[in-house]
Amino acid sequence: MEHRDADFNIMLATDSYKVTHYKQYPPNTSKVYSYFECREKRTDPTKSRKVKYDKTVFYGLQYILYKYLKARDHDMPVMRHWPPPWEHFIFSWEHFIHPTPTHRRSPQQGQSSAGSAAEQNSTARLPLLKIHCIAQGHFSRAGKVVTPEKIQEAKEVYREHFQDDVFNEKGWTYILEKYNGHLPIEIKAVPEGSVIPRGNVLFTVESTDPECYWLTNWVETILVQIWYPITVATNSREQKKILAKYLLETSGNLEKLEYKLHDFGYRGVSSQETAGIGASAHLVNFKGTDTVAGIGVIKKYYGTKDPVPGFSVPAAEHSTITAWGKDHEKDAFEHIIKQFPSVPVSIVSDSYDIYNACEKIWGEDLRGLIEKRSADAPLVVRPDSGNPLDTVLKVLEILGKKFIPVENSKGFRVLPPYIRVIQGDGVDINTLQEIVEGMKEHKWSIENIAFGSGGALLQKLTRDLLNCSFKCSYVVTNGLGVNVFKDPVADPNKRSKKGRLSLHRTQSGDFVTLEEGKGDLEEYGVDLLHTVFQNGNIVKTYTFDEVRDNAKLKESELEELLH
Amino acid sequence: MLNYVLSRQITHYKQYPPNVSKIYSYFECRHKKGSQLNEVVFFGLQYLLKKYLAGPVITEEKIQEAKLFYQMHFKQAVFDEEGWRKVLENHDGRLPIRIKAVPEGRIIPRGNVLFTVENTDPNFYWLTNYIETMLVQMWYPITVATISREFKKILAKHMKATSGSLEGLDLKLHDFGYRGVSSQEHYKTESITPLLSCSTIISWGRSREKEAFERVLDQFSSGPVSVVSDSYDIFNACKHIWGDKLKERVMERSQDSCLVIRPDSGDPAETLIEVLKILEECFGCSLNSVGYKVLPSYLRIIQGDGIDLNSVEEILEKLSDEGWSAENIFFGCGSALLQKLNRDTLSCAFKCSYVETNGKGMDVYKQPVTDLSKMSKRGQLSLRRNSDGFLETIERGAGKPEEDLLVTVFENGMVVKDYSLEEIRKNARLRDEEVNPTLHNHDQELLHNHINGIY
Repeated sequence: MEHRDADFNIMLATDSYKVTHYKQYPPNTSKVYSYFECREKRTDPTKSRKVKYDKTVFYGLQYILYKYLKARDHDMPVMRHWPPPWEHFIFSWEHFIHPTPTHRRSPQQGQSSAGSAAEQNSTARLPLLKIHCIAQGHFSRAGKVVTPEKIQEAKEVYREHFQDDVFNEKGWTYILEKYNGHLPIEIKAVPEGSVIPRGNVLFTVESTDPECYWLTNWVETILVQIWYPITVATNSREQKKILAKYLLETSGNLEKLEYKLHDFGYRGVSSQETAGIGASAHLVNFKGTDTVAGIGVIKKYYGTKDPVPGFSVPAAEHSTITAWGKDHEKDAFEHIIKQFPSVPVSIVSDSYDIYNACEKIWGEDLRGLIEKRSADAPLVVRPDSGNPLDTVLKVLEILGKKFIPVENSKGFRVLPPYIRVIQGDGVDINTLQEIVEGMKEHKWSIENIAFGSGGALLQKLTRDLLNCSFKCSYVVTNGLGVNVFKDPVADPNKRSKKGRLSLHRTQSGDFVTLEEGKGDLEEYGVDLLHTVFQNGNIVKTYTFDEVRDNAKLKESELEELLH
Repeated sequence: MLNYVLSRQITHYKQYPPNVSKIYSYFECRHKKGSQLNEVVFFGLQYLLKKYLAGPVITEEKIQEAKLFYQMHFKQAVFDEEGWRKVLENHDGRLPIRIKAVPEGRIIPRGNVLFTVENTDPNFYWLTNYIETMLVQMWYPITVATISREFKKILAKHMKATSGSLEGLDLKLHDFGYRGVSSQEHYKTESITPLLSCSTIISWGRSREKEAFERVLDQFSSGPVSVVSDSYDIFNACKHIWGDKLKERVMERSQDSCLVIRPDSGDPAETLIEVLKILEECFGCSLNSVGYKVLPSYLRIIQGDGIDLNSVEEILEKLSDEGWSAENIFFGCGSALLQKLNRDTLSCAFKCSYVETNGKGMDVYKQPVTDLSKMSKRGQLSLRRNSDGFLETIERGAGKPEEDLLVTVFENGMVVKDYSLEEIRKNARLRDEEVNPTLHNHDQELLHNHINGIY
């Protein structure tokens, strides 16, 4: 993983205009309290979207907190490699059998710095292993959030950027001196993976020191980037619902649902970091990915009980086919299929003529080889051009003539288990719906197909899709709390919530956001927002397994889909 | 480095023909019928090279990490450990690759080669397309730079028409996109004025909007200042607060410390026209040398909501229809500049076009009968300016080296050509005919060539 932590400067990670906001709040303001929601879009006569996105998956806050906001102290190292390289691991164990002398040595000398009789005690070994690993460099001292150098850097940049001295050096120095860089804010949030209807509070942020009232909205910019993992996870889950519906209708079960939508988006995103975050968000709902970066994000910031949260299979690309020359497509196919006899292998087949490839090469020349393959190691034929629905239907028809399908218990046709199809071109939530609907009409089971999605999965999304927004709702000025809001006359959709907020479940199980501090009253039950970040420390975390559990499709949703 | 790749590319080394010794691939922004974007700004390769590909990027540690990882990811051993170790042993961990590219900042018509990639050591034929995933992320800086330049063309056109000059063009489009991008790793632009957000206004409470505005004027008495004014009622704010209660405070300000009013909701064009009418009533306006209305120099407007290429054009058209100069207005653009783009916007693609097997070279390509626009180029490629002055790509290795505009920028782990920001900006600047769109198309091309000279 890249080590940009040390270079990251929170004072330079905000919208420029926020640098000047500390001067603009009312005098004697001692608290600013803001919240985040995916606003409802009630009135929008100009557009009628096909997909409603009524609920959103809350995901990605933990990544931001760990990577950008959490205080860095000596006793909270960041694991750099997992697992540690084997040689170092063995050396570590050696150390327990033959403990080092009791005098301290500096970590730079690469020796263990622990030294007491407690070493012999087996229960003390885990912390010893940690200390040893620190010494060996498995952990890196990730950069502190606020340092004198970073304050200086920010001051200089802003002097040039504004051609004026507007930077709040005093405010940041206060945080450095009083809190050693721990940010005096408190963040409360719904559990990661929760699926919540639009228009509800998802997290709140408030300053905890009267001198740092301005800090709440300073961190808005970085926190609002959560729109991205939320939107990827939500859009991915909506596609899961579509696939679940049609898979159930055409086969009677949900086998392999989690492998039906594969992440092809690595090259189509705007950066490496985006790839990691986006891919991890898709893996909340699915298990197939080619965007390797997502796996690292999950392991580093969430953790799973399994060794990896996402899987893939060998597959061809155009260069590995065309490199053989136009007249040797069959040789390419044959070679590749033989390279991977006992796992699924996906082979792109449209370099010159997908229909000819299916009919003549797969269907005739290499038929024998394909039929020998087991159900665990099918050939997966990949078209990659043309109108998606038309191409899929035509490919299925052609393959169906050469590899006779059987009818399943629901009356839909399924190709023999050694051959399948993957459509990985032009797939977005709308075309996905079209293709599965078209297949159903033509009596093809969804068991036959998997999908790959790239740009639409990870890139063709914006903050406007779910109207993600961060707004101030409560301030304390001159000792008095005031509920504040915006309500622009030209757009009622942009109205914001008032006062201190909490999230509750009603007796009928619906979610409701209470405003103006009403959630303090007993009668509304427990607040679903939990404190996750407090004064520089992360106080509540979620594993990726918990995230997946919270986000899974519910029985009631499946029932709703089928009617 | 080993992880910056699509999973399936791990398995590709087993899929090429036996005795392959060279894979040569290229990157282009393919033609798309009906697209309004016909040329692109080539930008961003230097960043990728320096950040991810230069120097000794392969270490034994990383090989081990990758090996373990892919074992679990594929549930079998497919990772080419030996291949990567050879990079470490024979090349000190530096990638035996050559990349040739057009100079950064150049404007190139779609459908032309923009850069080529090939292995320099026959043992590493598989490396060329291994780095495809990372290099294709070039689509992003190219697309942002191209869209940003399109904005500039629209702004320049209207500024020329409604004010007679391009003064202040560079500051007309402000980047409001930080919160609307997908991660910290992104690009920033330009300098700004202190701007206000909703929280700084609404925190005063609804009845004290005037006090909030006043405080801002006090706090920022020198230098321009922008104040969001739609928290409750933009028209009321303009008429009764700015235009009445605080009118004198506003008029006190100089041109260098002007007030910039910011609407932030409603239909952009309609809101702006209404706001301009109100401000005209309250503050008056004058006519410039080409007969368009300009607000007093201490007062301007910035529209930062709902801005994209289409709305900017619409807004400026409507403004000019109503007799208003483009000098009155600045724009802030968020997601449309930095996020509402994707690889399909300019059809960016990376394809293999030439291989050497058993010592023989062969031109390769794809040509799907299902979509001929996806056809790729064949053989070794070069980019040249033809006798009519147009840029064109020569395929099948038929190009003359002395005419080739592609420059080697990366070789065997080293960045061998650096472009400064000044050079890049110079290459990407607007040409005369883009600012004066009245010229005939053919003349435009000739003028373009004349201005850019011969390479």
